Amino acid sequence: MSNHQAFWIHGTSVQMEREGYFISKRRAGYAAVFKTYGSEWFHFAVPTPVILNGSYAKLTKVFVFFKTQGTAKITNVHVYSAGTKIYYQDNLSLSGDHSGQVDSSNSWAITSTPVAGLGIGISVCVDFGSVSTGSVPEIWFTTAGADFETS
Amino acid sequence: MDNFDREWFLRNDVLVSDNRAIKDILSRAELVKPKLAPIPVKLLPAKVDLSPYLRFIRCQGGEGCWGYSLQSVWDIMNELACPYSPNLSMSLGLFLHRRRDLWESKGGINSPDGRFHSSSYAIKWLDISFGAATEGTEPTHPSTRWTGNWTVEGANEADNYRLASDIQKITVSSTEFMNWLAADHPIQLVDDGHLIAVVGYDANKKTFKFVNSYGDRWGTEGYSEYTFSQIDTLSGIWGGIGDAFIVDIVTPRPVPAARIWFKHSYRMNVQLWLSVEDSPLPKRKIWPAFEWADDSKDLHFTVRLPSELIWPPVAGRRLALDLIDTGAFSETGGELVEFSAAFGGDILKCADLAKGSVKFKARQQLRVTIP
Repeated sequence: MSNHQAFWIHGTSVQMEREGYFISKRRAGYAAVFKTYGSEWFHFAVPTPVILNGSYAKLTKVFVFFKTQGTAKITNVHVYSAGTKIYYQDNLSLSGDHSGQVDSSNSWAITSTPVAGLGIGISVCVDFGSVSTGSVPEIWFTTAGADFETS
Repeated sequence: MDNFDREWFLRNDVLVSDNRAIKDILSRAELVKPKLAPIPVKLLPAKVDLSPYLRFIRCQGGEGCWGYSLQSVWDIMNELACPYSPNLSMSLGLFLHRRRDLWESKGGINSPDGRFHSSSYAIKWLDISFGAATEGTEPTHPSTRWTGNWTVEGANEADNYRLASDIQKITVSSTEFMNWLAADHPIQLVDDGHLIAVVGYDANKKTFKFVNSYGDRWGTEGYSEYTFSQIDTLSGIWGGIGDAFIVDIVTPRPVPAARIWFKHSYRMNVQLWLSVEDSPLPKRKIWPAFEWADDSKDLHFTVRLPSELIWPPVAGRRLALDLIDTGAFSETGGELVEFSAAFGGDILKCADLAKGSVKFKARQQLRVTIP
């Protein structure tokens, strides 16, 4: 009988890959909000139950809840177990409000052979778009998480 | 200066002459063939003027033309590629020029992030591999006998302002100059040991417009002209035209920036600070850079906003510009003409200036905000 567990982390814990004055950042109770132009990577460190009830846990699904404004869109989602990339989706174009509940744009089933997790990291590439008139493109991260199971 | 130990200063390279920097540039030029301008696909325009892209007229006060002229060229290229780019600072260039003891014998220097930057001209040099800070972050202090180092903020932002390759020598002729200018390339030009930046031409008048680094009291608001003949015959103005250079830049990322313009009889009278309303961090002083020999009248420049600012500024965390006219050099007072903030294409203007400039008197303090 399989044992399912889910672990989540609030969006305010997200780390930008590059710190710089070219990105406006705000961490509030409801989300981490980033505004800039061009592409940037963001990284979530998801609490990982490596062993559950005496068995190695396997990763089955990952989630990143977000909302974009302007031309910002998520173009890549990579999942790492420690330093090994175990899952990826590239050439995406995800935008809109996916910050409140699970949907097809903010969740990814690890459909290949489930793999053991050794500290799961979810990395998201956001293309904010090129400079244009009007508001600066932005993305909100509200939360991120992962489902695990032991068989 | 009875106690002035000239020998100590010379031993410690604090009094490194301008000639060392100019010699470096010219010896580099001897090693390369001039690059030809791109052949224009359309008829050249009768007039090109890149000066509107250069708002900050520098005043060297002493030496440093080799760097100020480059910064003018680079500023124009940055503004063309990314409007509202902050004006670049000479702080890194002056530091490296004066502190050759730190890198000449080692063939390079480590930047604060630990990277090693080689001084070999065959390998990327600091402007290329490390970059340049900006005036609001690391104001230029040209006359200070400075043995300082990078600031943390300057090191962080320098990566955004880099040259794509070493400065490139070009052929000196009016035709080649016109072609380069029409291709949006201002030109750094040597004229008998002095360097200036050529920023435009008028084919009907047969003149080239250039900006000097003697402040805005020199020439016409800091600008003057060469005739085509002075270029083609290499006669120049200061004594003889030498080499000419263009640069290619790495297009900078947009950053939250403020553009400030005040008119005055003596810009060193005025002090400026930027801050975020209710921020616990100190106000950042952005002007002046303590160059007392700067006798320019007006100031028009672009600086990066405080890093704690969350874009866009809104009620409760407004962007504030504090201005004080000290009355130190002039009693005329001045007027604040522009205060705007921008992040990429998102541009905000100060409402207090919507109906025109705001006048201020000597010894008056003024605060304006966005919004």
